[in-house]
Amino acid sequence: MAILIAGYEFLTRSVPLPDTVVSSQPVAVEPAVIELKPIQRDIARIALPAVGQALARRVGQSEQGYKPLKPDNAQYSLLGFSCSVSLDVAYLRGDLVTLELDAPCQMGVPVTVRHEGVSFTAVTSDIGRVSVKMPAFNRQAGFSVEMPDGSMISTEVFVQEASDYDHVAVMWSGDTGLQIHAYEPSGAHVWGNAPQSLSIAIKGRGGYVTRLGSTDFPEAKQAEIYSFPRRQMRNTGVVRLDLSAAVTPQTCGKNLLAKTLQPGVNGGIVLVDLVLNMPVCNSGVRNLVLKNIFRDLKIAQN
Amino acid sequence: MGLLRVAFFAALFAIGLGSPAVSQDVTLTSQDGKISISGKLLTYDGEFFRIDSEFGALTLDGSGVTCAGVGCPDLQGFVAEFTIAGSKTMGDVLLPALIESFAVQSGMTLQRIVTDDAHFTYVLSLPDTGRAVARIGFRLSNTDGGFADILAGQADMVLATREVTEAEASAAKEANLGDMTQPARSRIVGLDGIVPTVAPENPVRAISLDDLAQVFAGKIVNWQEIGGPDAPIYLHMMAADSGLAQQFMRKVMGRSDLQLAENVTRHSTAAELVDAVAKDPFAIGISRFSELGNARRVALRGACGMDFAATRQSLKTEDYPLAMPLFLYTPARRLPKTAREFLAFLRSPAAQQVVRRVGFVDQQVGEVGIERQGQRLANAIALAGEETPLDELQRMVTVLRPAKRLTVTFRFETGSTRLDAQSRGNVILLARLLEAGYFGDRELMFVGFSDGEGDAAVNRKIAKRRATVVRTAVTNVATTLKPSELSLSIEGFGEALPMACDDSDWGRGINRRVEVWVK
Repeated sequence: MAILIAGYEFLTRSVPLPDTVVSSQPVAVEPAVIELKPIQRDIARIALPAVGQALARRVGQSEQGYKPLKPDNAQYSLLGFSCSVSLDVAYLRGDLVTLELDAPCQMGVPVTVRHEGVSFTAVTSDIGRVSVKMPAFNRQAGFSVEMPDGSMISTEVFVQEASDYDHVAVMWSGDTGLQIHAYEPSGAHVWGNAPQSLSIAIKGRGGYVTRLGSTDFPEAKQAEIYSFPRRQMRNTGVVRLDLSAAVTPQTCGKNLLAKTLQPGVNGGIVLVDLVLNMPVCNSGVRNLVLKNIFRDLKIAQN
Repeated sequence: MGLLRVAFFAALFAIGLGSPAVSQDVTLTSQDGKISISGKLLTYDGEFFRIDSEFGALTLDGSGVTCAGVGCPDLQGFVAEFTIAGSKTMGDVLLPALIESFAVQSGMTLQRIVTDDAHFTYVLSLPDTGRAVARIGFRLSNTDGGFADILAGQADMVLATREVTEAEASAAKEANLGDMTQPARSRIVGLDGIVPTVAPENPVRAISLDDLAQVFAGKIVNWQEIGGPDAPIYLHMMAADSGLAQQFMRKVMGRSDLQLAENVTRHSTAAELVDAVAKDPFAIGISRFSELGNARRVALRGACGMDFAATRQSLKTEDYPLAMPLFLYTPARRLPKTAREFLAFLRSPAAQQVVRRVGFVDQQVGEVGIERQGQRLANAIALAGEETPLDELQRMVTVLRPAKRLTVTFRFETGSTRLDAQSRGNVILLARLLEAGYFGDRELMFVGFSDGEGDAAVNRKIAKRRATVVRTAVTNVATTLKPSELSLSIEGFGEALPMACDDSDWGRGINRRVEVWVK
């Protein structure tokens, strides 16, 4: 254990290692500057491969039948969990799933979650986990997560009721003030500040808004999704959908980049890159409201 | 020579498109190197070079020549640019959906650059290289605005919920945009209809056109007078410059020379209008079939009790009296290749499906068997009498029973022998289907009907003559077919199968028609 800790210290401090493993006093380190990095069980391999080989040769010469240790390639976190990344997506109810990413050695790092054209940035917790509730767009729903090193992990889940729902989404990075507004036949105005919830959707009384993605740093990708339980609705009618962008000192006069997703007229989901030419700063317009980016959702008679 | 020069300059002005119009020297050489022509490049549209050579303005297929010289366009980097202006009814949802579908079908990615709901641009790009192929601009206002824009050189296509007016057509001619009244200058993208709407809880299900006009003139002010509760009527109408409001004024109010009441609430979009109507049980508003929102449509009632609701079928057959075809006008000049491909796409079954999916009425030809025409047959029996004796009805049933009615129907402009706009579109539609062999070796019957005014025997003759006129119009367009290859017969049943009552102009207008039956 002492050796492990020593190894850890060497790693984080990048101190050149002396020839022998059992040397030094650990250098005193202030806890605040410790950057947690994965450590490896096979300390000889990571710290002193050259010494390790030399040692094996020397021991081999003096001891008959000696077999050098096989290096163990698995990596472990400080807490002893395997560094391997796992992704679990479980069906909750309605169109909702829970996505759980477990990356014990990648704490506090941004990862990109993707599903059917939706993508957003999540940041792993200090034990390397991400847990998100999000809607699934189709019954055979594929989810993937891209790690900071570019590696991908993906999984699929069967979402029984996904096709009973219509979905529209908008995605962006940074401070754009983009929002979806749904005006439902009941008169409800559903949006980020009044998102409703899945339980209302399950009862067939309206849709709900899900906001996804980190707001911690400007490059983080965010997404807003409106789920509407088309099949569950008791009455026929039309849901009007607006997209609004707040005209703020940060956004005025700029070109905002976003992406939209909505049901395609010939089926499937269509992704469109959106460029919003925001009103100039002194125009007096406080909110750019676009009524025709998203088509109305129609509740057909059953 | 003087005249030629005039024509040449006219041609020069007519070319607004195909962007790199900066005149530069180019030499176009045929692939085998034998023929070579030099001159100034006028336009390149992604497919054709147009150059001002020593022989005058020449158009050359780009695939057959190589271009050399400072003026040569970047053939790989060519971006087709064109602008669509006009009606919001068509431009809000329908055209964007068609462009979206066109891009998906051509495997291109889409970018939408938005300034506001009326001004936006689509950029279509190749997915692998990301190279832009087309930039399609939108300037939405209303039909008037669309024609104004094309006259001002700010648009290349006009979205119109009505036909071009004489004034617009003559201005277009002067601006070298060609004769906008010619069939080649317009196409029907889809169909729509003017529809009165009320809140879902309003009990009124049907209203006569005359009552509707009286209501909007402020002469009927209480729902009680038209079968509703004792409550005032609140009127909702589109803005006066909208195509929809203009059509309503002409087709409904204009018939009785009535003016619109002053206490009408105006709306800038049909969506806004129906949303207001849906919330107020005492409101009535004039919307369109493609935008009913959460309101309920009200059928139109003939005085002798036949109701016409706006449905896909009744709009296709124009049995509903307030059908509104949606036109796309193009100028008489060569549009860039992607624009031409888009226009061709509009006629495809895929595009017609888009039209239907976004709530408009497509022009796909349907067939309706006689068993689904019980209401019409009941009318025929109810109105049969001395003029239309039993044996005439029996003859009609014998002829029609083995056949099916096509949704393609031909009607005439009020007080005229000229086919109306939708029917003129139908002539082309039917001719194209015949050329494509759509009906195989089945027989098509052109069946004429008349209104009930005047002598029945005369009406039968008039009906038969109308059927002949329509058949001739169709065969004149279907030029790739010999008349002998077609099995097209003529029938006339006069006033035997009325669609509507003959007690009003519009009723008579609906009855004067040529149906097409296939067997």
